[in-house]
Amino acid sequence: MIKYIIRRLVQSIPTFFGITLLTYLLLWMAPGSVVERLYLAPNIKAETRARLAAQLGIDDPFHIQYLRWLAGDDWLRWDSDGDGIADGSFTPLVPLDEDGDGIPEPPGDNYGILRGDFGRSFVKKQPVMDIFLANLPATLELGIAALVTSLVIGIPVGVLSAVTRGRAFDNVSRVMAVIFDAIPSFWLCYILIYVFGVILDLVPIGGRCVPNLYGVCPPLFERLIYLPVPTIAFAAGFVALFSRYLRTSTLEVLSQDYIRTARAKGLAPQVVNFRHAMRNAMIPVATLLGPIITNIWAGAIVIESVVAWPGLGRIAYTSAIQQDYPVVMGIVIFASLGTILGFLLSDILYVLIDPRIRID
Amino acid sequence: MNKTFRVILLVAILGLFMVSASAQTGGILIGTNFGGDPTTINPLLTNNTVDLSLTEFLFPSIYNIDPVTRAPMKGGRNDQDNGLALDWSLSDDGLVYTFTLRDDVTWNDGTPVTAHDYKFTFDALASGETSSPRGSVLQSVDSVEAVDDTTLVVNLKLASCRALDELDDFGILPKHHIEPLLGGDFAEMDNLEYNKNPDVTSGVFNFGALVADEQTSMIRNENHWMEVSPEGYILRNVPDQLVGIEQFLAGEVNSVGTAGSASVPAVRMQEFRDLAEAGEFQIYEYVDDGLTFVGFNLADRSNPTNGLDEDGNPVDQGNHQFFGDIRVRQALAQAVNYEDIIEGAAEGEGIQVNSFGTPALWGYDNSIAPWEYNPEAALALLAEAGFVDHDDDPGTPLVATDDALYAEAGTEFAFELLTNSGNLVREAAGTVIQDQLGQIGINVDFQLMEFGALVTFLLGQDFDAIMIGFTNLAQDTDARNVFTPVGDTVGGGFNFVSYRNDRVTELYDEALSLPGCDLSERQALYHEISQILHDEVPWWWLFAPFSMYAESNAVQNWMPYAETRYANMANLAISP
Repeated sequence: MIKYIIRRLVQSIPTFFGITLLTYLLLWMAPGSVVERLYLAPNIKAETRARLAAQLGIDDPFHIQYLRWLAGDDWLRWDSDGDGIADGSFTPLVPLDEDGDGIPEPPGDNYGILRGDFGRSFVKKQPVMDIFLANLPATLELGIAALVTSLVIGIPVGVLSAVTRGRAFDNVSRVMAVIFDAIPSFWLCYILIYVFGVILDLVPIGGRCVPNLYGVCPPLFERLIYLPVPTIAFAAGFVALFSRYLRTSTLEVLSQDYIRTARAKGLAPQVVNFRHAMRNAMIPVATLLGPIITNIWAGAIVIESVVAWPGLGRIAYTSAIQQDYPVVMGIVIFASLGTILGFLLSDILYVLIDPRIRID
Repeated sequence: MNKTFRVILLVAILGLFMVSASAQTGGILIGTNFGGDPTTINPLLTNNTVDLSLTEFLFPSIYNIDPVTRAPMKGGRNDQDNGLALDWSLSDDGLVYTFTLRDDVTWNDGTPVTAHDYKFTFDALASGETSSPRGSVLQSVDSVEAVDDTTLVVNLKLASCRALDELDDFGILPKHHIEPLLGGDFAEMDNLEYNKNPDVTSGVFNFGALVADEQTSMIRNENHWMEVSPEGYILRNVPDQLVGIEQFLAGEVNSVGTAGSASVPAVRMQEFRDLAEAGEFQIYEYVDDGLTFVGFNLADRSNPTNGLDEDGNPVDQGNHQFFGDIRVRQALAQAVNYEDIIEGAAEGEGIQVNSFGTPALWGYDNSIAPWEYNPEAALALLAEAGFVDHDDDPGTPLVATDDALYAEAGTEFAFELLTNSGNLVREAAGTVIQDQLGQIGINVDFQLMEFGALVTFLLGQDFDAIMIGFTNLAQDTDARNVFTPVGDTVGGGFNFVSYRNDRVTELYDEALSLPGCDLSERQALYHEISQILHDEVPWWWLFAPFSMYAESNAVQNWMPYAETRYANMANLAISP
């Protein structure tokens, strides 16, 4: 198993770099830039925008920008005597005095993603990792709540739907699954806010914490009231997905000989359905975890923006709009790693749930 | 004194005590911020309304703005204004401003705010090593000298009536606190922790906390020279405007938008008027200081060139086959119904503009009659310009005859109109224009594109016609970067339509260097420019939207102006 995991991780490396290269290329090819987005006004001269672009390094050729992001630029131009002025450079790529003003450019201070430096946001002027860490808890909170909710509801509904095949519960749950699968999450968010926040006044209208002067957000158990709306909006699609998968796979399992045997031996229906059938029916669910992690990312972008939830999805949306490359690339790394690890986790769970399956 | 009377007296005294107690505490003001986190709270680096909504209450400025006239004012309306200048004078040659500053303003650590702080901030900007976008002041200001703590001398490069306006383009930084942090290198300004957490400030509030994507807060400055009523001001970060408005209606926040933005959408304005009339909350309406327009490319699109060569001589840029002819532009200006555009794009919540600017600006000339909808006159002008209906079929486009100045005979009148997708106002306005021009035989290929792509076409001068909007226009109406060849540079300039009129350039120069800078004399010059721009239609003047502040009834003593939502922040009292 460990050998398999290592092999899969090694195989992921070229995939990972391919993703980063393609993403950076797409960003680079996109028209406009962060400078034009933030500083486009008649009273800001073109020279000022050019200076700001040079400060950010976005006027450099693609290969220099990508290399800087990947491997840093402290080795492209360096300061060996520590006087703050570069005295050596990797001249095939960057000259010591790039703008030809007779003064060497300052040495680079980026270490690159390969050395754990995600860079600094062009807009917020903060390390990308700091930005992520500030927003990660909110997304984890919501993502886990949504995943747990969808599993807790989706699995029993799927199994029950299968064992009551053709009856009222099955029909209703199937229709509901189609509806929840089809409803756009942002629309569901608006409806939930309107019904439970505006009309019934049961929950706050968006947000994650009570606004306060000192920016302190209390522990989760003290602000559970903020969770239902985004969790339901998030989980609705997953509940539909899980219940449909479970229904199909449970039906398949229920037709197996060992289930018939168990019933013939007089085992209680609940024991047959939930102990014997459900465990085997869970195998396809494990394969869903990879795509689910990707979907949580995608869902977070929409739902967090509607309900004002301060998570990573908000960063993804705003940084893409602002063409804040370092942040977008950081998000791509997180999403890529999440997807790669999610699929790996699916395969491992597959084995754990079904001992007959072996991987090597 | 009988018992009943004593009880009534006791209740009255208690009531009075409770009222005065609540007025003292002032409560917390909570606004909705639709613009994302502040990018910086350093007043030299700010570049959006969210940043400015914070710095307005944290940092001193060189002078106060009169909220009614929006002109610089000496002294202040009351003690809460952060402007330092008590008085100023301009030398006879128009090249030296001398300011006398207040001596009773301090930073929140007790250090006095002085002329040295302004000089330090200006020098940081002038170094060119920060990412400050506020460099326009450097066009006219050469240097700043702090003669003593309260005397500031500003030396101009040239006599410029915009200089005074430009000097207030940034807030003032505390030299004694920032200078040691920079270690002698202004380039470090961008990397200061101070930019996210300014601990030394001078305003009615101290900075509180920035919680990413959630809220930003400021806390009452107990050491301010006047008593500040509100306990604090929280900008709650709400990306979705619809959700933010429901929060306001539900009483979860006190205002729609921040101090620097109105944010009630046009589609909800009538509903808000009705609710305000019913006493549900307070509103304040005004004409916005931005406008929506269509820019006509007047030059040959296939070969974009700068308006001036390296020696400053005019360059022949060719002519656009349609819009190079002034008669065509004037015809189009009469070919659409502006009421339909304003209704379709802004729910009727706007006003047609007649030239550059809006009625909110002092240089705007309200006496110029805007273009009127007159399709017959438009067709007649187009015929005169050589574009005719050759087959008497209104469904087919007009075609150019030999009389057309720049279009080849037989060319169908069809052009691209570009705007950015996602802006519902422009999308609706473009659809009305497309429809109504189609009715007189002009085919409009209306294209929506991502903003970055639009900017590339715009600055590259690679378009036929382009619809965008200018917001937060500067009070001083000098727009030489927009309507003179100085701004006609491919790839970066804002005269992207390549407009050139020597009289307009002369007038801008005259208004900029007018001895004494008398406002009414300058106004007359700008009015003449406005008339020319109206007549020559380099831009298709569309409309300026209405804006509306909405404030909860919990906010007492509210005194809004178009210039600022909270002219008397220190005196606000917010009931729970």
